[in-house]
Amino acid sequence: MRVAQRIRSKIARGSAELAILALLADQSLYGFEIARSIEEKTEGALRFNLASLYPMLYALEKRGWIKGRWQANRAGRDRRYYSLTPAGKKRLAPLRREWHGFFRALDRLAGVTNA
Amino acid sequence: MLSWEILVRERIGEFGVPPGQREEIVAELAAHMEDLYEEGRERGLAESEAVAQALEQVMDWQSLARRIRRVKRDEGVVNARTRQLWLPSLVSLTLANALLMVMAKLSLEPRMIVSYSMSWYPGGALMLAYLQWLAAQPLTGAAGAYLSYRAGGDRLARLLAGLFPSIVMLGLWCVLIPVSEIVTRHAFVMRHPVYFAVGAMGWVLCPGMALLFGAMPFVAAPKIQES
Repeated sequence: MRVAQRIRSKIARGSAELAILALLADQSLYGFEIARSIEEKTEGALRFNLASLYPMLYALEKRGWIKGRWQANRAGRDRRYYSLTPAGKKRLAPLRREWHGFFRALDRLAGVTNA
Repeated sequence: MLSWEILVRERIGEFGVPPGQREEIVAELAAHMEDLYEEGRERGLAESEAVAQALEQVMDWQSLARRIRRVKRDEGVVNARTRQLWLPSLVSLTLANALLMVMAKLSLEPRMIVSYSMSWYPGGALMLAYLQWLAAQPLTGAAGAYLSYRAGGDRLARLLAGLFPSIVMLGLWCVLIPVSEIVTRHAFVMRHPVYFAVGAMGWVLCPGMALLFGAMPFVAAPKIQES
């Protein structure tokens, strides 16, 4: 049971990392925008609330994959915008490959795409 | 007017990160809540409903504070290499030296020296101190390797942290002593290479093996994944 939970947690964490890095590959966004964009682009399949988003953002920043910088948004309010660092860009490609391989393997096993 | 920063600061409390960093985190979380609130208002929610909706994003502020602290504290104080290698190495070196001091103090009491000097081996008290110290070295090696293991160090970091006291002694014997011989033009070591080799064996090789013995269980263990 605990192992299954750990696997689920790792999958959730890994997918969240990929989602954030992939989103920031195109543009700089602040926390609220990141949460909204992910929710919209995945049609609600992936959702972040404040409590799950920021520890993840800080962890990615700690690893040097993203960098936060305060700047004014369109409404003139200061927001911390995150962008991908060169190390983050480097990390994104293998992360995409890993997930691609994972889904292909899962598909072969469970026929996910035909479900 | 509602101050989101005050609200967040009150709920998240002191969570063990430097004040400047804390204020930045509070400002960022407050900005997010403010955006949620305004989004709710734009959707036609009453003020109290919009506030409640924003607050629903965090069910457990203490848990959030702990998770952020875990990330930020490590970042602010020490980096991974320091946690996984240098701190455990420093601990094992300090422990090895502290044990040597304690053993020497216990074994080189005047009554012990007198008692051993009269026995079959005149240097017995010194030898006793050394052997006691050597016997304690697996503990030192285990401490260094365990601390590195717990910090998520890889096998090499765990091994180096466990063997660090011997690595330092190796540096002394291979670099410092030969260099000092040359600088002071005191050729004792050059003239007595056997003494030098015996010294190196006693202070580098034997303790190294004892340290390795203690460190091995943690060196061989699978790596802990960083959270």
